[in-house]
Amino acid sequence: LPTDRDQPIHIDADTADLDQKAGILTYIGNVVIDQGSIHIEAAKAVIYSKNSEVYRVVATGGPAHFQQQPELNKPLVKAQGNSLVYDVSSEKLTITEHARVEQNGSVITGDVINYDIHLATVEAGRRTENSERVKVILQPQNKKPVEQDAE
Amino acid sequence: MALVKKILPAIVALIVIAYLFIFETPSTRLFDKPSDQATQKAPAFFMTDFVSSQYDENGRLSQQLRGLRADHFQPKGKASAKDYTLVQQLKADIYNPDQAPWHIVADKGRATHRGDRIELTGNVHLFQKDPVKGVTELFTNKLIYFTKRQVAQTNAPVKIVTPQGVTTAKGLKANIKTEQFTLTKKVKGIYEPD
Repeated sequence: LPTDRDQPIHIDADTADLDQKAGILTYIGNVVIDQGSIHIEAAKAVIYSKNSEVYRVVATGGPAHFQQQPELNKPLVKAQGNSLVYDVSSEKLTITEHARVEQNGSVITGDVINYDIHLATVEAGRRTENSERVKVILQPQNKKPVEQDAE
Repeated sequence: MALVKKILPAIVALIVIAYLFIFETPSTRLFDKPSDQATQKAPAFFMTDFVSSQYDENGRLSQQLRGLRADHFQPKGKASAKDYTLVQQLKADIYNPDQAPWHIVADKGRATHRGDRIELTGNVHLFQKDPVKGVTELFTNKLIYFTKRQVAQTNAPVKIVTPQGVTTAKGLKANIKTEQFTLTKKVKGIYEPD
């Protein structure tokens, strides 16, 4: 939701390591992150903060999962990949390694997918020549029945 | 009647012996060493409003312990590895190069192993006021601190409050020198976004 980025970030995990010097907090084991309608599940999540605020979350897993409700009346956007980098301030999600984004039956897969959470736009590509190619499956939109011409 | 008079003492003796050996076995009564508690109710010595300072090899202050009162006990009746010190209202300040000092406050402390191991109980508060990173605080009700290695650990519930947010868990291992903290179970964090 548009208000997601202003919500507090809730994190649950089995264990955590705080590197006070570097300001990095690493959550390990059954990691669940919630921020408004954003929901991330991963094996590990590293929280980066600067000037006392969280600015980036890197979630990794086999795969790690992300989902969000972009708008109140819009279907869920679901994403997954071995690495999810969620940039909190710019509201961008970068998915790498077996990246996949799905909404309402339409699916995009590839090596790298950049999902702009704020604009709800997706950009897919690959990092090297022989990386996984991009595949897109778009579900036909439901067409409204055509009105009969007056005879 | 005369017979009864003759054997009465023997009967009484038998009853006494039976009582002694059945209900009050000698080993529990006669040879019991006075408990350790009994011998050292009184401390070998005590200090009030004390300050104990430790310096590193370069002569820099590395740790300072303060307290309302410290009672030092010697269970062996003379200095030994069994000695322990009970401290009331303990305050410890820990200094390391390139880091703001860390502080520990607790209602009680029990120092053993020649002061290398301090068991802190009651309102234990470990905190640092860093001019750049802000205040980092840890709250628990029991913490074991190893002074030489500057390592602290507990399996009690802990709460860590940092400028980023609040993290709670059950169990912690902290290395104060390297400023690395591991929360060992049931971790929950709440953070304010950028």
